[in-house]
Amino acid sequence: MKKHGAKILKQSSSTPYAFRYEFTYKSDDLEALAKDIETVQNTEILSIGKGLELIKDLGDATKVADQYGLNKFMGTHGIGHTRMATESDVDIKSAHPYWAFPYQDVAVVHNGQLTNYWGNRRILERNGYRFNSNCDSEIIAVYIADKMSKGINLEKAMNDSLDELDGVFTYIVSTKDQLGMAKDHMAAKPMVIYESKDIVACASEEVAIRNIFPHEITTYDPYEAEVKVWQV
Amino acid sequence: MAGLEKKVTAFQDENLSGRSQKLFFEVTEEENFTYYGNHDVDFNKRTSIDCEGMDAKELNQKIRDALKKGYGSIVIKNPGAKHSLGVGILNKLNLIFEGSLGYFGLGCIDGPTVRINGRVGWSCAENMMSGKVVIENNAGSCFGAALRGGDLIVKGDAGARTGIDMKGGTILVGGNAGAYTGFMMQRGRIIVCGNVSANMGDSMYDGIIFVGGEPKSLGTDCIQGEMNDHEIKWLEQKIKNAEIDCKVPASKFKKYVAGRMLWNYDNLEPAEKKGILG
Repeated sequence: MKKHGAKILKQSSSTPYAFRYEFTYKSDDLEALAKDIETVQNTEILSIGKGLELIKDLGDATKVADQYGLNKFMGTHGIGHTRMATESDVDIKSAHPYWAFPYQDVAVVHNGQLTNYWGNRRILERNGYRFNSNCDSEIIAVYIADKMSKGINLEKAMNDSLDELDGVFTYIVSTKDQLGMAKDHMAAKPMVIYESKDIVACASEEVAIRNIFPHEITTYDPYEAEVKVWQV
Repeated sequence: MAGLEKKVTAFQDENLSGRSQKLFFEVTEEENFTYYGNHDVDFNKRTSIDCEGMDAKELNQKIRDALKKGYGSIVIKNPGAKHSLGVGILNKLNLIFEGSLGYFGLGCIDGPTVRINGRVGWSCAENMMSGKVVIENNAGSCFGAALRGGDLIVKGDAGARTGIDMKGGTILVGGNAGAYTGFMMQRGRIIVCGNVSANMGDSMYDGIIFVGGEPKSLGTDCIQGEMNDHEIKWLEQKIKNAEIDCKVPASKFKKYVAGRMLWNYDNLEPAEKKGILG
């Protein structure tokens, strides 16, 4: 850590295995810093960033939210996901949201299945990206991070993904100051959106949104191959 | 006489097996003089049910209980976009939802007239046999999947795969409809006043899709047909009855039908043919 001029400001832990550090650093190479942190035995970084914080654990939403005190968390936007495991193991690293090591502040939740995962994964791995799990959803985070690190904006990157990722999907991306959703060409996976003057809510089912808005609201389903990006 | 008595006894003792058989053929039960689950109701008898804190099963049971008591008009308050509300109603009934429904609302219904002052999620009125469902807002995907009869009306937009696998009845969409509208439809009519997304009528076997706007693209074996005067009249009346504010006059609608290139039934045995079409 010293090598990179990093200094820990605050340290906390919600479970015996999850730690949260706030730190400053002087180095330009965040990737090297991240790799050095992971040289500590049995350590895996879930996310590094200036704006986003990722939480992954096993159990239902209420349990995980209580464990990490999510109800007290203050912020501008958030995404969440309860996974029904089909492709890969039920463990913490295969839980959503996904982050792209070591690209800062990108998180993805995904509903669906990608059919050209391995091909795309090998290409991205050759370009130096690291995959933490064998779950197909992870590729979306890495794909978006790859595009954005090349200077392509989120909306364009998501539009490109509609043609370059095969399979069925509806996914939500969160960056430090943007929230985006994309739906595949078949519109195979559900999504309901509620937009008002000061709030945007998307979910697979309206009943989830209605937990926040008990009154009647006007919602709509986005159509196939639709990409929407909201600025925080 | 003795012979007849014996016959009746034999009939009652008849050993029918299978769950449905037991339900339908209990000769001593009064309700079997009508259809199963059908009750005499008075449309002027009105009640309301508050859905707050209730799950779908409880609400659906409450509707059944109300039907048994003869209520012909039921208002459901606070449906809260829950799933599977109002399914399996086999009665004449005026049903009003004061709010939105989630997935699979009003599935397998036969007879009721339903008004929903909100939106519906996926697969609304799936496999409806008869009746009328009016949705004031938008509808999700698979709207009216496998519809067999009745009128299904949405005043806003409908999602992807509207009328997938439909086998009868009419679907009316006041706004736009999503991709694969009329996918594999076999009979019935879909009316869309707005535009339709890609691959409309893909693999349709039969039936008609009327479009007021433009379909983005046509699916496999969907072709444009010619409207006749009778159809224009029918369309006009149907849209008027549905109380849809359609900007396009009925005469300007386009008609799409199956190109019948996928019809290979002649190579099949008659029995198989009947099974597919029936």
